Amino acid sequence: MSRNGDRSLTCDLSWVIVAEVAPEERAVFQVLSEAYFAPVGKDREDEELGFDGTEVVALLTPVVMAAVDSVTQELIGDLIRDKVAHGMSAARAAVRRLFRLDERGDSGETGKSGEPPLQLTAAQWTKVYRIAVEAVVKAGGTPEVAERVANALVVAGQGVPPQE
Amino acid sequence: MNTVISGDERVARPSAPEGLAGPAGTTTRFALLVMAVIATSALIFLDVYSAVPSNQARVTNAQQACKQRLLDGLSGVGQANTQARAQLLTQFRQCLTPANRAWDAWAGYGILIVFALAAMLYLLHPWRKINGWQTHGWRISRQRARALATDKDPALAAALAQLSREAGLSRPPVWLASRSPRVTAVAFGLPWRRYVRLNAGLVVLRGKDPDGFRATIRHELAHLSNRDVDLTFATVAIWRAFTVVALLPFLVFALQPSLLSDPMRWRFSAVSANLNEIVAVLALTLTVYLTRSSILRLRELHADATAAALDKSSEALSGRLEANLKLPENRHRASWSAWLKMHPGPARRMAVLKDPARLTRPSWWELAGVGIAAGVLAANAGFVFNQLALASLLGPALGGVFGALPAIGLLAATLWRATAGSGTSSPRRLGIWMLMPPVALAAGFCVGEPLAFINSVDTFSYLWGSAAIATSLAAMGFITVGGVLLTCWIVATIRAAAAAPGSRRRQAFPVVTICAIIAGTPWFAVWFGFWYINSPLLAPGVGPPPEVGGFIGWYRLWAQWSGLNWPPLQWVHAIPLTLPGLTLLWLAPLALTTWRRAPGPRFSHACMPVRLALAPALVGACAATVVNVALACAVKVALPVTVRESPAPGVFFDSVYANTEIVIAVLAEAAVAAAVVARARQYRIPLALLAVTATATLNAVSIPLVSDSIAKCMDVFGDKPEGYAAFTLSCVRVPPAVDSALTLHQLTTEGFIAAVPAALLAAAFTAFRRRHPAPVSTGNPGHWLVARVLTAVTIALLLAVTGASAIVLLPHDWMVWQG
Repeated sequence: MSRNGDRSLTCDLSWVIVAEVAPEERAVFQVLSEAYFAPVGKDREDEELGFDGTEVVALLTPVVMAAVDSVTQELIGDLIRDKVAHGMSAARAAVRRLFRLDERGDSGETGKSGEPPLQLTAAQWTKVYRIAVEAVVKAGGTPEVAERVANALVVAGQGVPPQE
Repeated sequence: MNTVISGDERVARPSAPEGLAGPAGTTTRFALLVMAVIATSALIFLDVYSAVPSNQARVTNAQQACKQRLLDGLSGVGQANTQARAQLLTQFRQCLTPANRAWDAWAGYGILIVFALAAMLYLLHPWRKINGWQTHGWRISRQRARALATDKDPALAAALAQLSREAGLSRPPVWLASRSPRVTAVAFGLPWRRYVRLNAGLVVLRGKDPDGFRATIRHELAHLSNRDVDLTFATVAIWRAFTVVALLPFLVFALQPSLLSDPMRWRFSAVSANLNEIVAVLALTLTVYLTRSSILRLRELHADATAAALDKSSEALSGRLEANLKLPENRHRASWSAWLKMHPGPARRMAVLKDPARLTRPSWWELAGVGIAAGVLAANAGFVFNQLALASLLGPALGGVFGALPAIGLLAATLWRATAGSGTSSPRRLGIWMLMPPVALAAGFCVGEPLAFINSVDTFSYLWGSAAIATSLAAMGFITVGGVLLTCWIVATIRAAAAAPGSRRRQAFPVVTICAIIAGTPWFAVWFGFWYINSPLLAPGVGPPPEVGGFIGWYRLWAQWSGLNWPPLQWVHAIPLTLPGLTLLWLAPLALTTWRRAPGPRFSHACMPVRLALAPALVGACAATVVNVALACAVKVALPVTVRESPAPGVFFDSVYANTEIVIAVLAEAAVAAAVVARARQYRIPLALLAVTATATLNAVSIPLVSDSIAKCMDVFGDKPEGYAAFTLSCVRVPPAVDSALTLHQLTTEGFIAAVPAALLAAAFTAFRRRHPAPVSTGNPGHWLVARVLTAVTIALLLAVTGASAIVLLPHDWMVWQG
C-alpha cells in the first residue's frame, strides 16, 4: 500500500471498481476509504448495546483500494518515465483521463469529455492486470476476488482483460 | 408475546394480565447499582478522609479535647450518679459532632462528585461513540464513524426506513457507518437525538443474508423502542465515574497510606493494617461491577425479545445467534466469564428466545446483591447518624431505614415481575418459590453489613468468630421470617390486584410497593438498631415476679408469663408509622378490589368480602370481653384482697391484671384471624389482617370501658371505699387518650404477631379441604348498597381511630426515642 498515492485518484477510481464488484459496500465506502488511509488498531469486540456479533465478513473495498493504489502508482511512474506526462500532477491527470474519472457521475457511467483519453497497449493492460491481482492477494483477497477486481479495473480503462 | 407499555419502558413480554405491568428487571438492577455505588463510595470516602493529614489531625485533636473534658467531668461525679454520667457521655458525643460532621460531609460531597461526573459522561457519550474513542484495556484508539451514505444505496435507505416504521419509533435514528468488518451495530444517543451505527460488515451482510440483516437492525431498533439507551449509558457512566473518583484514589491511598504526609516512605505494615478495608471495598466493587454487567446483558435479552416480536417468526434472529454460536470463541465460552461480559452468550440468548418467561424469574444473586448493598447502606448510614449525637438507638434505627427502603422496594419489584409477569393468564400462586427471594436478601444483608465502614476495621473476626456466625445466623433467620411474611403479602396482593378493574390495576404496583415499605420499615429499623448496638435484648423474656403475692406459686407464674415482653417491640410501638403500616396491609388490597359499580354476575369473585372479617371481629371482641369479665370474677375469688391491692406503681396486681387482659385480647385476635383464614376462599391474608385490626380496636375500647369498669365496680382491685353502692357511675372511667392509643398499638401489633402462627395453622388445616367455587350471587341491589354503606362506615371508623392514635402518640414517641 502506498501512503504517498493521490488519495483523490485512488478514492475516485476505487469507487468505480467497488460500484462494479461490491455494490453493497457503496453506503460504507467513505468510511472504509478513510480507514484505508488512516488505519487504526483492533476493533473493540464488546460494545454497549451492540448486537455482539463476532462474525466477520470480508470487505472488498480495502483490497480494491490496495489494488487501485498499486496500479495508479505504477501507471504514474510509467507515464513520467516514458515522458508521456511531465510531473506528478500531469501524470495523475492522465491516469484520470485513462479511466474517465472526471466524466463519470456517482453511478460510474461515463459522460462526454473534452480531452482524448489515454490509451494503453495490450501489454500494458496485462501488466495492470497482474499488478492488481498481486496487490489484492497481498492485501488478503482470494484469487477469485483478485481476478474480479483486476478485470473490473481493466474494463474501467476500456482495456481488454488478458485471456488465460 | 405481546408488547406491553410499562411506565417508561416498552418491552416485549409474555402475556402478563392486562394492566399489571411493572418495572422490568433492569430497572430494579439499576436501582441496585445506584445503591451499591452509594454504599461503596460512602465507605471509600469515609476511609480516604483520614488519609489526608489535616483531616486526621482535626479528628484526633477533637477526640483528645472532648475526651479530656469527659474525664474531667467524670472525676467530679460519683459512680452511683448514673444520670450525671449519662449526661456527660451525651455531652462528649455532642463535643465530637462538628468534627464528625466534617467527616460525613466529605463522604457526601464525594458521592455527589461521583454522580456529577457520571452525568457528564452520560451526556458526552454520543460524542465519544461518534468520534470512536475506545479503550482496549489501557490503550485508547479512535475510529470515527461517518454518516451512512444512504443516498448511494436507495434500497438500503428504504429498508432502514421500513424497519424504523415497524419498530414504532416516532423519529428514526441517525444512521452512521463504521469501518469494522464485524457483523454488528450499536445504538446510542441522547433522548433528543438517537443514533444507530452500522458496521461495514453488517451492511455487506444484507446482500448475503437479508433476513439476518433485518434481525440485527430490529435488535438495535428495539434498544431504542425499549428506551435502553439512557439506562445503559447511565450504567456505564456511573461505573466509570465510580472507578475514577472513588476506587482509584482509594487504591492509591490503601497501597501508600502516607502518600500525602511522607510519600517516599512505604511500609508493608501500613498496607496490611488496611487489609480489611481493601478486601471490603474490593468485594463491594465486585458487586457494583457484576450489577453493571448484568444490566447490560439483560437489555440485550429484552431487545432480542422485542425484535423477535416484530419478526413474524423469530427464525432470522435465531439464525444469527446460531451463526454466532458456531464461532470458535463462542463455542468454548467459559461460564465464569459470562458474569463479567456485557453481552449474554448466544446459547443463553437463544434459550430466552424460546422461553421468554426466563426474563421474569427472580434472580437469586440480584436479591443477594440488594441485600449486600442494603447491609452496607444501613451500617454506613447508622454510623453517620450515630455520629450526630442522636439518642442511643435513634441513629442506628435511622440507618436501618436507609437499608430497608431500597431493599423492600426492590423485593416488591422483583416479586411483582415474578408474579404478574409469569407468562400465564393469571398471576403466579403462593408457593415454595417465595422462600428464595427473602432468603437471598437476608443472606446478602448478613454478608454486606460486615463490609461497612464501621465494621471493615475488623471484618475477619467479625465474620469468622464463632459468636459472629451464630449471631449472623440468628439475624438471617429473623430477617428471613420477616421477608417471607412480607413476600406472602405482596404476592397475595398482586393476585388480588389481577382481579381488580383496569384503572386500579395500573395503580397496583406503586401502591403495593409503597405499602410494603411503610409496613416493613419500622420493624426492620428497630431490629437493625438493636443489631447495630450489639444489644443482647433480641430474645423475648418473661416479666419480673410480683412484688406482693409472689409466694402463691400459680400467681407468681401467671404474673411472669403474662408479663412476657420483647424490648424491641416497645420501640416498634413508638414509631408513628407502625400502626398505619399495619393498617395499609389490609387497606391496600381493599382499595384495589373495591368497585364503585353495582354488582354483576362476577361480583362475588371480585370484591373483597369484608363481612367475612368484620363479623368474626365482633364475635371475637365480645368473647374477649366475656372472658375478661369472667377473669374478674375468678380473680376476686382466688386471690385475697391484700394481694389484689396495688399501693404503688410497679409489678403489682393491677399491672398483672392489665397484662392478662392484653393476653386474652391478643389470643382472641389470633383466633379471629384463624377463623377468617379457615372460612375465606379468597383474600385470606388481608381479611385476616382486617379482622385483627377490628378486633384490636374493639378490644381497646371494651377493656377500659367494659371489662375494667366491671372489675372496678366488683372491687377486684380492692380500692373501693367502704359504704359505696355496688355500682356507681364512678366505676366507669374513660382513660386518657394516650393510654388508649398505647393500648391500641399494643393490641394491634401483638395481635398481628400472634395471628401469623394461628393463620398458618388454619391454612394448613384447611389445605386439604375440597374447595368449591363460591356461589355467584347477583344479590339484591338494595341490600348490597346497605352492606356497602355499613362497611364503608366501619372502615372509616377504623381508619379514623388508627390515625388519631398515631397522632396522639407523637409526643410520647418522641420522648421514647430521645431516651
